[in-house]
Amino acid sequence: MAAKPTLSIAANGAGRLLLGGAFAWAAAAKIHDPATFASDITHYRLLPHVATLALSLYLPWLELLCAAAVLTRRCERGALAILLVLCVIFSAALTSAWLRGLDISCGCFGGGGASTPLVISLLRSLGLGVIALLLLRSASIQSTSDLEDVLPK
Amino acid sequence: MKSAVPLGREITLLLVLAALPALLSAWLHPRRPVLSWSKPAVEQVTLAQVDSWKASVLWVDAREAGAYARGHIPGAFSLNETEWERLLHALMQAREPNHRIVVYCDSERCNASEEVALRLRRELNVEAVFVLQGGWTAWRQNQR
Repeated sequence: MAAKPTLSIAANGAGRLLLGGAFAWAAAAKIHDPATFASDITHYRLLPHVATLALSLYLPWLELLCAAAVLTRRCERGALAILLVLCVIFSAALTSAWLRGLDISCGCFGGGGASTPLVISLLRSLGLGVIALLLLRSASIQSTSDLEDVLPK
Repeated sequence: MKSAVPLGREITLLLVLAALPALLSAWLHPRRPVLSWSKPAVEQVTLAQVDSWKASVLWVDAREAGAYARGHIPGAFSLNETEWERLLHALMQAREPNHRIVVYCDSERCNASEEVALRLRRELNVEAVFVLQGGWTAWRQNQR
């Protein structure tokens, strides 16, 4: 018998809108001003200079593409897996910055100025990660049950 | 029914597709970071970052006196290597502990701002000294 998805249709839709919308908004701000984003990454003091530059140019486009994939349900599982990994990495970086007492901007939504406390950014990142995990699990179960419907019993 | 595309293939596709606009950005984006193999000695900041600091910014113009006289960022202090001793006094009178000093020269291609910023750090033991990315040119373009 096919397994039921873990989320209701409404929860699934709301989760995808929230996750996809948040990452699309974050990506747009950073695509607009990659120099400021590069500066934000530098302030974490975690990466070498060249990696910082590459990430400041590449990451916003990856976020935008994954957000679009989640919202349109194309390559959805791949996008959710990537967003989940990004949330884990962001949370680790924010935790590191917080423990080291750095007074910096998250860099999550561009801007360059230190406005949102790191703890709030961390909680937000963790929350989005949980949403990505639940959606990925639901999408994977749905994909498996679709396969079972097709394969000979 | 959705096609069962392997997860790995979806991830690879997204990772590769994202690289294309990123490469274009590195080449064409007007607000791309300065691409260099080594980290600049003094941190560069953009106008957007400086705007977010609001009143805690002290502008320093590292160009020669003639360029400064022809036009400068409002409130900026002139300070260059040629007249260092004479000009430093006015800057120190105005500086407060919470001030971030942002130094600029003509554009990305001049070195004067970095030299002045490094000298300020060395002689005054000030950490919060930055160089404006794009310099005077960037500031004027932003005013249009």
